[in-house]
Amino acid sequence: MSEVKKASEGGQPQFDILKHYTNLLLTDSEITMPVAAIESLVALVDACQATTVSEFISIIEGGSDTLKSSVSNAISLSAGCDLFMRYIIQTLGNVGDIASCRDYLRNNGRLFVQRAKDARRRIALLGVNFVRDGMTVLLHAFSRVVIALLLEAAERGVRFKAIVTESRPSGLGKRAARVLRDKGIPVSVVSDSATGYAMGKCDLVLVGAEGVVENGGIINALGTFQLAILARSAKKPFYVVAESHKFVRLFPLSQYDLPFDQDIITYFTDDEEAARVEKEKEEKKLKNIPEALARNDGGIGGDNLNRAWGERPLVDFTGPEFITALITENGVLTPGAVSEELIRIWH
Amino acid sequence: MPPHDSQKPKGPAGKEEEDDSFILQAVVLTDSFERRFRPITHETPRCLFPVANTPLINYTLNFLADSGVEEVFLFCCSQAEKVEAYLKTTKWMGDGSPFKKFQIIVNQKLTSMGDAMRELDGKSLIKGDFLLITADVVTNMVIGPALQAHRARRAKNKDAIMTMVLRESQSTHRTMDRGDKAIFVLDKANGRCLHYERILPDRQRPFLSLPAEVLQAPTISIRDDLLDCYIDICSQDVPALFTENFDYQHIRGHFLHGILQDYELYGKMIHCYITRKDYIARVRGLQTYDAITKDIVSGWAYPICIDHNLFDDMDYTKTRNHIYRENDVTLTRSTLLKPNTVVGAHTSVGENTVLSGSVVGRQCKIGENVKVDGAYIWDHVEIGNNCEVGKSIIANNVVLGENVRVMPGAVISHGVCIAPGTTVYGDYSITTTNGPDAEEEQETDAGVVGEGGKGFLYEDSESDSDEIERITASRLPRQKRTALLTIMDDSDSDSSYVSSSDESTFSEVSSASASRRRAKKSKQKSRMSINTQRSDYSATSNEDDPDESFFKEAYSSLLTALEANHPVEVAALELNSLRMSSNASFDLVRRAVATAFVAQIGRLTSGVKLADVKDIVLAFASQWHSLAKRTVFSRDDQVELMLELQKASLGLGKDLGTRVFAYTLQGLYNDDVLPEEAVFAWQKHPKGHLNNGQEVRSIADQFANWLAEAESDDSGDEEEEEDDEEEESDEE
Amino acid sequence: MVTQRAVPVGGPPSLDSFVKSITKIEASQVPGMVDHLISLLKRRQIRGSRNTAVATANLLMRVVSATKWSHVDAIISKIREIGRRLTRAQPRELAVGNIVRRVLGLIREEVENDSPPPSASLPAGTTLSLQSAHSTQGGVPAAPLGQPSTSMFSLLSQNPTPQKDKSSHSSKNIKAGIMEGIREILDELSTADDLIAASALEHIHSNEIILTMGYSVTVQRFLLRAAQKRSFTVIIAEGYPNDQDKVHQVLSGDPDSPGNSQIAEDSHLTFQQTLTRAGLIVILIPDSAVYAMMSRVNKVILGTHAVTANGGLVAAAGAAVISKAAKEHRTPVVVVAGAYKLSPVHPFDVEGISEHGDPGKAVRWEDADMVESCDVVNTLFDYVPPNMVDLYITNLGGHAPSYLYRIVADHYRPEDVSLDG
Repeated sequence: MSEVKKASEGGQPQFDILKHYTNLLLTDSEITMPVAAIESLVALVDACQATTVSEFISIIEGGSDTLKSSVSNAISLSAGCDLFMRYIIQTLGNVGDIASCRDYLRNNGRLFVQRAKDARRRIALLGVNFVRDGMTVLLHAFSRVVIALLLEAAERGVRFKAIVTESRPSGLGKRAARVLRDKGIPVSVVSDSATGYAMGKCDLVLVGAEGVVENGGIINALGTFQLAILARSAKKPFYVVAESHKFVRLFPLSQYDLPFDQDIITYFTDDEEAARVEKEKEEKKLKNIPEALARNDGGIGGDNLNRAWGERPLVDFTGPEFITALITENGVLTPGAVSEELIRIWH
Repeated sequence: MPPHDSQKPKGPAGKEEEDDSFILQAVVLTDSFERRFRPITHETPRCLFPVANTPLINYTLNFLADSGVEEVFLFCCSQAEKVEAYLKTTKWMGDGSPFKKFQIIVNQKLTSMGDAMRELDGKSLIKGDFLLITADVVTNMVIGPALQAHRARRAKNKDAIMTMVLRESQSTHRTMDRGDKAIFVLDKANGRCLHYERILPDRQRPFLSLPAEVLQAPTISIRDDLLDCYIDICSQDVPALFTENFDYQHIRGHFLHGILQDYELYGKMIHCYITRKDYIARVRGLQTYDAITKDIVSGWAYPICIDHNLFDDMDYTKTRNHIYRENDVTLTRSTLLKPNTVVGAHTSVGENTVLSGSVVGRQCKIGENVKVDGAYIWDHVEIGNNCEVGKSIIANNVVLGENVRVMPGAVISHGVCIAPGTTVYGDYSITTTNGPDAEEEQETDAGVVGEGGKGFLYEDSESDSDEIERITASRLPRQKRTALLTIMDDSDSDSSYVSSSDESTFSEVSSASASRRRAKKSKQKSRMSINTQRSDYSATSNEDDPDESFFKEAYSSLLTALEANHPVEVAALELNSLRMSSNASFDLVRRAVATAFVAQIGRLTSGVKLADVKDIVLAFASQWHSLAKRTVFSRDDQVELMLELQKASLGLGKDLGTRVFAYTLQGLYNDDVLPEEAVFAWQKHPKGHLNNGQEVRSIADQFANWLAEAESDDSGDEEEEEDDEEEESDEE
Repeated sequence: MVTQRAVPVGGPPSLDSFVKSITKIEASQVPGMVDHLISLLKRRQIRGSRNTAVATANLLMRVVSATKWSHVDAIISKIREIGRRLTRAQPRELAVGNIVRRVLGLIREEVENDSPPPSASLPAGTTLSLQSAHSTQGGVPAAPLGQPSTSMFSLLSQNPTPQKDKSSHSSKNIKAGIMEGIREILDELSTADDLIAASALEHIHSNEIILTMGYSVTVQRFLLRAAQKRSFTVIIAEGYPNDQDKVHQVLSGDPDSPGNSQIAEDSHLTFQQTLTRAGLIVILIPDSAVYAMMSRVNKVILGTHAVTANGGLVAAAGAAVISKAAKEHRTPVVVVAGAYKLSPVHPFDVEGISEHGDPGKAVRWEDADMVESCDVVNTLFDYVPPNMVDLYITNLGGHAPSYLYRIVADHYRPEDVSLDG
């Protein structure tokens, strides 16, 4: 991992933020990237010896950039980083002196992280009302918060069924199915091409989000967009379940406005060439998972491993017009309300 | 009871005309002095029966609270301690009680409502007009208008002592108690009750005897569609009158009757307040228990709805199709709740179990693959796997083993255990006790509850004959969808009321009125005959009369038609309309046709040589066969027609009769009214050989034999004929 | 002493008798009064958004005045508890919960106003937490961390729970402030319809054809106000089976017809003021004719029972059909509703939002055969999704449905949205 080396060579000899971040992801399969990022930055603040404001900020920014650059798709990670940066700047603006600011952050760092983690639980408690007895829920990919919500519903004796799309190329749908089936929930896994076919059988679509953007739309695993379009044409409610630390400072207008490149559409004239590239991709993916870490994981943390090592699932953008509402720990918000909230923070 | 003020906030009284010092009191009787719910009432008093999982008395007290009643006097007789213990747990007697005074009067010696009223009079608790009600009434009524009407009448005339609150309904309505219906004769102008007559289930008289005075009112209305729940607004005079007449027991049968009858003596008047919009019903027996539960479940008693959680500890939510679930109900994924189902808290239901149209209480355990349809299951009941439970009542703490079948109509009382694999038949009432007064406890009857079960068949020791009747009655086939619980109820009548002495009261009334009638005969027509044929209770009325009269009328109209050579269609139409109007059976129609045919043929052939009879008869048959055809729809009908013809022919004497019968048969055979098989069936039919039937069958027998020989030749035709017949019957 | 009754003899108790009695009770009788209102709600004896809101506000005012507290948390949790019980008594009367939340917000605001300006030190994040994500700037002391008053930032703010210093506030001042606030809420309840009606002329033009449904005081006043200056046509769908009697009475203006007392009670309408007498052309149609008439209609004006947080409506059954028909014909749908009807509750269960009313209004109970052979369902409310509505007019002005969340957010503290727990 070239980025890892770069980071350790760079600015922070005492504290390797990337290592801290990676460890967090690997040791706790339930943690999400933005929370891990905030936690790492808090640790960085803790370790930071800077004496001037500008030095302090540049160290934090550096750490943040390191984290962002470590992954190919830094949507949700950057949400955490940006939020934290914004917060630090505001704190500094109010307090004006680094020492007390650092004390404050040090004192409250754990609390921030805990609150972020609690958000999932709060969402589950709030969103469980959406799942009613006898319903069929359509899911896409694997979202911890969606799963938490559904497990809460199952816990309360709501008798629902779930249809999960396979969500290729990541194939995370199967993982979601495994977790749900584990709790006795009947789950059907359908291929992504069967989404339109399955739509008529469901009452509700629930998806997570990598990031919630400023216009109230979401960035989520590839296939979410088509799901949203289908849901809309079938007049099924399409709900996004996301913690508010996933709100990111982006304003995409289309699929191709995302701040990174995704290797999704590639043209070939030569069939063999195409096959070769395909094969290389596979190999690269396998190579990316160090053997040493593979034992750590019974499959459940596979996604974390991918994330830790920079492999991100492909994503697409779903506009606010397709979203019925977003279920966050602060309540059920319309895309418009989310948009306003985001704009308020950064402008 | 806390007689201290419940500290209700005070505001100016709602309506100006109200006298501020007036305090509305209510007298509630928890005992019905009936035995309809035995054996369950041995352990749970009727007012604590769960209706839609809430003890019945709550509905009544809720009504009183809504009506602004401030003082409640509750008369308890049997199992008073249970009623009292229960009420102490409720808000009615607690701190937030809507009543300022709630007094329970316990007297084990009470045997009737009359006793209670006399006791009430003795205690002089009543300060003014009060509400008299039994603790088994479910209503969403607002008493205000009725109360105002009563008080306005009282202000004008102190003799208007009582107002009965009645709900307009239909005599066939499911909430009408089949065992206690009555006809009210009212003065239409002011709602005064002029005459009251109870319709007993075994009523024989299809008419109503009215005393002459009744007809002095300019307009009277005679109604059998009033649902009487025994909600009365009474003045202080009412208890006093009970004391005065120590033999009054029943408030309708005795008190009302007496007051009406002895108007000259007392000069008291009783009025009715008839409401058309409120829900009023009273749990009298199993039939009304069933009906009222259904009404509540499907929202007819709005706002008394299960999901409104009106009473202390309820926590129901409703989903579509009237399915109600309380909190903490455990259902498996394959559990199916069908429409109109209520499931109480902490109940668990196993895999593949289907509940439909049922009420399940709290903390029940229902196993796997169980089918429950229309049952009333109370609390703490355990039902094993693969059971089938039909429309029945299963009281608290009953255990049904695996594979038990409970047939519709069964009543399983508290604590009974049914061993696995046992079938509980619809006419069973199973209990574990004969009541607190029983001298010895009865042994478990393994033949009823199976080996290892607990309980025995309940027999009502006080009225064995009733019991036998009840069982046989409930074995009757079901008449209607609702009939199940109905049947059980019909013969199970009010014991204190329908006593023999009571019957004599009724006959006295009618003889008294008859004597008055004689006296006033010259002045006015005093007796009204009301044809009760259309009403529900006519099933038990004399069936011969209308049938006989129909036959006569049909016969004479047919004979006229035959004589005057009316077109067949006209005659048929006339016959049909006659049949419809008197709702006669086709048997009667056939008899009329056969008799008329033979009579007419007899006329045509009188004085004719026997040799010519054949032609005349065949000509007659070919002219009128289609009339006969309209009366037969099946093989049995055809045979029946021949038997009737045979019987009628007897009247013509042996020679002529034999010929007329045989040739009529032949003629009808020729005209496809009677196929060969019918003739063969007739030949074998025992009735045709009876008595003197032999006399007229000789030629017909020959004809039949001839047909039998020819059968092989024209079997094809025969099939066609059969087809025709079938078509004919399909059309009908 | 003249004794007075909570329940008039002959019942049933009404809003008026409740309000009258609540002002006269002793402090010790307050718990009884809470129970009383709960049972009135359960028995549906006080119903309708305005009536339940008025009853709730009156009750809470009495509770606040009668309760002695040393710590502001005590009164907050007490109100929350009462609110929980009231909303459970009639979960579909969202106005009850709205008023409870408004009162809770009032208390919190009073406390904040009353508390000394927080020191500039960082750990004083306490007030921050009290401040809603949506609180307006005015009147609220500057929060220590600038204005990070978003719910998102609550993630990074300090622990929201400690309010230890609250007990030092003079509960007397706070109490007076709260009482004043509740009185304002009551004022708002009584003036909302007038304020809404004030904008009628902006929305109704001469010779327009307006379609409305059933009986709504708010709509009635709105139309009457417009009728003072303009002449137009009103088509009224009668709202069978729950509203038609009232509609007929209002149109015929017959004060003697049965049931008018109820109208008089909840509308304070004088019958001389009916639509027909105001010079409008009024056409009464059965509900089934809505689609047929829609092509001629310029505007649909609907009243509503409640408005949910997402801008959806809970309105009398039939509203969904009308708005659907309007959508089909591109006819604008305008909803008039007092702000007290806006609820922060999200319509989780669209089916459960509607109550099943008295089936006897559709089929007479004495019709034995019908009762026996079929279930009769009389649904009281429809849920109308937000995309079916073009404009909301509240006493605060006109709003697009997409903006409604903001109005909702301005009225309620996020911590009070859920009364549970």
